[in-house]
Formats: sequence, structure tokens, C-alpha cells
Amino acid sequence: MESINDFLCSSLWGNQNYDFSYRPSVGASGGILTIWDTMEVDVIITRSLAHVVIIQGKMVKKGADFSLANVYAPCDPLRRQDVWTHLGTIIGNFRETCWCVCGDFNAIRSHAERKSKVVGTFVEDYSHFNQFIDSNILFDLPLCGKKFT
Amino acid sequence: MRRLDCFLLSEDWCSIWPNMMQHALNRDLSDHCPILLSMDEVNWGSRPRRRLKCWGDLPGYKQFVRDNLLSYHIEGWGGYVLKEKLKLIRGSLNTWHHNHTQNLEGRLRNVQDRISFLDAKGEEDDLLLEEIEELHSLSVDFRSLSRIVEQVTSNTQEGGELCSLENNLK
Repeated sequence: MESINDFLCSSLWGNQNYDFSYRPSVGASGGILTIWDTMEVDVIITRSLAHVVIIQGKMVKKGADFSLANVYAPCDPLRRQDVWTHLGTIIGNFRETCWCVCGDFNAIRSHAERKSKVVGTFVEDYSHFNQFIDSNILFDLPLCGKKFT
Repeated sequence: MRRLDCFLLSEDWCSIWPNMMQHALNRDLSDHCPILLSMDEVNWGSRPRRRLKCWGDLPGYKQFVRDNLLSYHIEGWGGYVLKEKLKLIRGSLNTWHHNHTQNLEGRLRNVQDRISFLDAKGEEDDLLLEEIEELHSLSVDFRSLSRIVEQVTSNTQEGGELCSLENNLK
């Protein structure tokens, strides 16, 4: 995913009513791609920051201003914390739009979201991710179909 | 295994699309499951299941439903388990319904023939005790079969999902 082109996106999407924004991968991981239906969504701004691709615009049918952040969080907890801080600032700056923050957060919110055979000294810190969710007043819907992703 | 991927939504987003659902789909090549956030406003869920009142008259119906519901093992929160169980029982009930409503007219005719045979015999001769009992149970069968035929036919005319039954009745 070091470079994304129209050919790839159109084969993923299936028709021509799309546009996309992406952040290239570094080596084999870290790439992010957001594709949207141009009949449904009018994207005005796209932003690319470390580990996040943000698109902002209007939902055509609802007329609602929205922002959508596609996240691929790093494994390193300290760098992950930077992502939460940075993203939190942007969410705060665009509070008047409705927000959807999605992707691979590489973090879990509680022990219940993990199942592992290794029991031991490793204690995962849930607090930063929870703090990010709470301070930006985001909601995590219950997941249907599976417990883990 | 961990739950690493999800959609986090602001309050405004939730009030614009109140009927959202987050589904984890089956994974293929990736080590992550794709997640679908559906916000289809016309998606009111599955069509309501139709239950024919006459099903209760058929022997074994209640046991069939009970056994089937107990045989499904679904994990998740209560509402989800109920929804999935109802979805599964729908399929089983369709099969059950087909098996129990095959050749209804033929079966009705057989019962009728047997009744008139016994009636005719009774005119000539005294019926045996077993034959009198048989006659009683035949009239019960006849009533319940006619009720099924009636309900199935009226259901079919309403254009319900049981339309293939029409072919069975012809």
C-alpha cells in the first residue's frame, strides 16, 4: 500500500462514483485508505497526519457536516498516546461537525476485550485510550457477531 | 485475540443516524475481522415471522420448537442471542411447515373416504368398538386438516412467503 491509484480503488469499489484519500504505508504496515461514495458524501477537506486520515465534508442526503477519522494506531504505547492527543485537538477544533473515528486502534478498553493464554506480569494500560474516548465524548457501539476483531 | 478495531461516534453522529449497528464480519486473508457500521434507515431488521395458528394443532409442534431453540448455541448479549435464535428457527419452521402441509388435499380425501366407508358399514352392520373410536378420531383429524387447508390457502392468497404451498395444494 505504498502507493494507491485509481485503478486499485475502482476495482475495490465496483463503480465510478467514488473518491479516495490515503496515507501510504511505511514498509509493510501503517497504510490507511478511505474511499467514499461521491453521490452520498461531498468531501471538502482531507487531512493526513501521523497514523490518521481525516475526511471532512457534507453528507449529501442529510445535509449534515461530518468528519471521519480513519486510524491505524501504532503498537508503541507512547506513540499511540501522541496520536490520541493530536486527534483529540482536531476533534475539539471541529466540534460543530458530527464525528466518526474508526479503524485499528491497537488498544483495548478493558480486560474483557482480550482473550489470551498468557497470564502474567504484563499489564496493559487502558486508561489513555479510555481517556481519549471519554474526553472527546465518543460512543463505542456494542459489536454484533463476534467478541474480538 | 483482542477487540482492536471499532467505530467511535460522537453524540451528533448518533442522533443523525440513530439506527446504527456495528457488525464484525468473517475475516479472510487479514488477521483482522472487517467491521461494518450499518446505518441504513430503511433497514428495520428482518421481516416479521408469520406463525400459523393451526401449527399448534399439529402433533409435535411445541416440542419441535422447544428442541430447536435449545439446540442453538449462540454467544453474546441476550438481545443478540434471541435475534439469532429467531432467525434460525425461521428456517427450521419453514422446512417443518413444508413437511406437514404436503399433499393436504390427498390426506383430506383419504380421511373422508375412510369416514364414508365406516359410515356405510355402520348402516349395514353394528360397528366394532375400535371402528367407532376410529370414526371419532377421523372426524377430529378431518376438522384439523380442513383448518390447516383453510389457513394455508388464505395465507397464500395474501401473497405471503408461503406461496410455494400453492403448488402443493394443486
